[in-house]
Amino acid sequence: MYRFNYHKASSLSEASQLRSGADDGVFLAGGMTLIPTMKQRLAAPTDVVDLAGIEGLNGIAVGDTVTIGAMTPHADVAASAAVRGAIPALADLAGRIGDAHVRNRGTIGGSIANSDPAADYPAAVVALNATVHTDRRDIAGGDFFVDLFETALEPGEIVTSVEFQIPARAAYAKFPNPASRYAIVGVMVAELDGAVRVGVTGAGPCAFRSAGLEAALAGGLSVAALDGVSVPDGNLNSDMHASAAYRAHLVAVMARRAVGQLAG
Amino acid sequence: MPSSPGPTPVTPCTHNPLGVKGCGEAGAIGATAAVMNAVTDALGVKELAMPATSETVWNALRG
Repeated sequence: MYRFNYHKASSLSEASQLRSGADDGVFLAGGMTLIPTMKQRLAAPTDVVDLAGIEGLNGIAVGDTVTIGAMTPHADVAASAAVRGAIPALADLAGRIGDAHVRNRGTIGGSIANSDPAADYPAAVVALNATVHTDRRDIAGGDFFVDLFETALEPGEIVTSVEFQIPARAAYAKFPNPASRYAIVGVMVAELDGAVRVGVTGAGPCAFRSAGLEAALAGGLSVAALDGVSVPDGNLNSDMHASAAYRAHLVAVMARRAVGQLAG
Repeated sequence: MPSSPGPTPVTPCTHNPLGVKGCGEAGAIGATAAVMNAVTDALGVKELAMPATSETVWNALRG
């Protein structure tokens, strides 16, 4: 790790100012990606602006929608009876992120702002038609993830909360890396406003909806509707964990498992 | 740390004709071969490169 300046902001505006005043500033949420990256010297920011001291970024509100504050750790989402009551699949997803240490430190804001292709939350953001609230505006979940580690966030923009639509039903199936528990492929299938939405993470450069799987399931959520349905592998990731062809296969399998959970 | 050449003590095992000793993974390494034999038998293939990851098995299944 290289030397850097640490700042603890007490408000969103102070955080913005601290970051914009730095040569190469970054925001720190849970630090589950940033800190290891800095320790490996893959990142060398001059200034780290900690968001943990800002009030109002941590918490869960359940009403007509489920709103999760950006600094809410995964463990809180997983343990929330209100979330489990409204969107069981979201609590289930949060409870299977990483390990207990990661779930106690990692935050939803940090997870989605990083747009790691193997993160779990992005599948829910696109499948549940979420709205990402920032200190400047609202961003539709479908527009948020742009590419590998790239989002619609502008430099210095801070995610304040993520607001999920409550589906009639939803399920998340994941093929985890056995060591890290990152999603080699994760698929959320949701029935929302009478339509089926399929959010895929882990497979491509960033989370996306699968038009092919959604079309196959448009007639009803049954595993049989996915018989013979394959997923194109042209744009999928290929790395030491899985080839693009295998990821495409896993997307179809995880979709079947998610639908199977709903049918069962 | 500087290199420190020294004598290699030789203490042959007295319990077998070769005087050899198992070391390190000697006790465990047989399991790897046994599992790979089981996997290749189940898949009906003659060879499969370790490790038998899910993708390796999937590829073998597809021929």
